[in-house]
Formats: sequence, C-alpha cells, structure tokens
Amino acid sequence: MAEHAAHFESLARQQTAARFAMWVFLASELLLFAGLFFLYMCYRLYWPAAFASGVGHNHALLGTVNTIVLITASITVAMGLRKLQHGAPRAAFRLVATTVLLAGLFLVVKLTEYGVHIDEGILPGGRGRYFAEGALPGEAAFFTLYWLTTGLHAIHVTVGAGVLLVMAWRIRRGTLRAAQLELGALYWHLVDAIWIFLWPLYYLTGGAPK
Amino acid sequence: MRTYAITGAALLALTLLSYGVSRLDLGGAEMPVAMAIATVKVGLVAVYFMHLRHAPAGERLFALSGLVMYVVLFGIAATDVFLRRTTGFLPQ
Repeated sequence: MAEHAAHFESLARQQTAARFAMWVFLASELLLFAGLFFLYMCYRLYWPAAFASGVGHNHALLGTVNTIVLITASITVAMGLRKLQHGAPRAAFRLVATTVLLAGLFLVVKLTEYGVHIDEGILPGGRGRYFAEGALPGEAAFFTLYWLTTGLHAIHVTVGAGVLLVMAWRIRRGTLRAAQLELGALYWHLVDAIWIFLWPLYYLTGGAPK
Repeated sequence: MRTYAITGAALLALTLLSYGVSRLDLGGAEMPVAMAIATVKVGLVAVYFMHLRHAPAGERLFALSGLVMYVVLFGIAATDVFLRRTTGFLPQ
C-alpha cells in the first residue's frame, strides 16, 4: 500500500481532497454537456416535427437495452466498491470486472446502431442519402446533434471503462485502495447519469408511436 | 448492499415505466413526464450511488454548485429563445 503524498498530513486528508477534486471535475463535465442539451432544446422548439420524426426513427428498444445495461453497470460498480471497503477484494474484482464487460456491451450496441445509421445514409452535418431523399427540414440538425452528443458520451464510456479495467486489474493484484476505486466509481455514475437524460431525448420522445 | 439493491431495482423499474409511458400517446405531456422520471433517476444515482447522502459538506456544496451553475446558464440562455417570440426588439 502506498503512503500518502508528502504535502498531505494524513491519508484521510488526501482522500478527502481527492474526492472533493473529483466532484469539481464532475461539475465541469455536467457543464460540458449543458451546451449540447441547450442546443437540443432550441432546435427542438424550432423544428418540433423534425425532432419527433428523428426520435421516432431511432431504435427505442436498442436504446432501452443500453439504458438497462448502463444502470446495471452502475449497480455493480457501487457494490464492488462496498465489497472492497469491507475487505472482500475477490468479490470486488468480480463486480468491477462485470461493470467493464457491461460497458463493452453498451459500446457494441451503440456501434451497431451507428453502423445502421451509416447504412441508412444518416451522417453528421446533414450529409448522406437520408437527407437527400426528402427528410424534414431540421432532421439534419437533429441527427447532427445526435452524433455529437451520443458520440461524446460514448467517448466518456470508453474512458470510464478503461479506468475501471485498470482498477479491476489492480484490485486483483491487491494494490488498489477503496478510496481510489471510489473516484473511478463516481466518474462512472456521472456517465450513467448523462445517459439517463440522453435516452428519453433521443429515443423515447417521438410522439405517438406508428 | 441492501441499499444498492433497492436503489438499483428502483432505477430499473423507473426505466421500464419511462419506456412504457413513451409508448402511450401523451401529446404535450410526453417530454415533461420523460424529463421528470429522468430527474428522479439521476437524483437516486447522486444520493445513493454517489453517496451524497453521507458526503462531507464540501462535496455536497460542489455537487450543488454544479447543478446551480447548470440551471443559471441554461436559464439565462433560454430567455433568448422564449423572448424572441414575445418581444419586438429581438430578431424573429
């Protein structure tokens, strides 16, 4: 186990400072997504029919499966942290590794969806066959925002999964403190929280189903 | 562990509820209902999974200030969108 850094008077102080800094970072992450949520509101007010049509075009069931996957991943990392805090590293390893696998599953589903969009000619910036063949005005804005926002989120999922993968490895080797896992878990929960809002905005609110 | 299991079950139940109501024809209530359910879910994540319930004051303060800054920035910018329709001095 590593000792605390020289400029902290105790390990407990260092851990409190690290958790506080993590919250500062998470607050800044929230504001990073704020701009994208704001553009969504503006454009949806300008083009309500196009946005409803775009949402209706997205695959609600795949989006819902991914929501369940991410929430389950949040449950497993929270439980893994509790196990590590209570001196059960083997169980902690299994739970955190499960979180990483679920993150991978999320990305597989998301990339499959992106593949379908590319096949349909729905590309960022209103390029592609879909828009050339008479989509509603405003659908290009919807799908460009969709690519930007879900893409930025998918990058966050990838980073979170990478961090938790390294942490799982260190739990197995017995070199990870629970306070360190807590920082990774906090980040993961934020990624989950962002998706909890993206899911209804991009998959569910398409008006009456056809 | 019990707390996490209950919170997780509540989150999954709210997810199914949100999916279920999205298949109904709610008209103008669709977006407010979806956002209300999402807000409750994120609240559960923050309070129980992210431990804000037992967090020191400093952490709670920063979580709260992030939320306040979000609402303030979003709110100020949103005045533009809504005032364009009701005032004469902004471009239509």
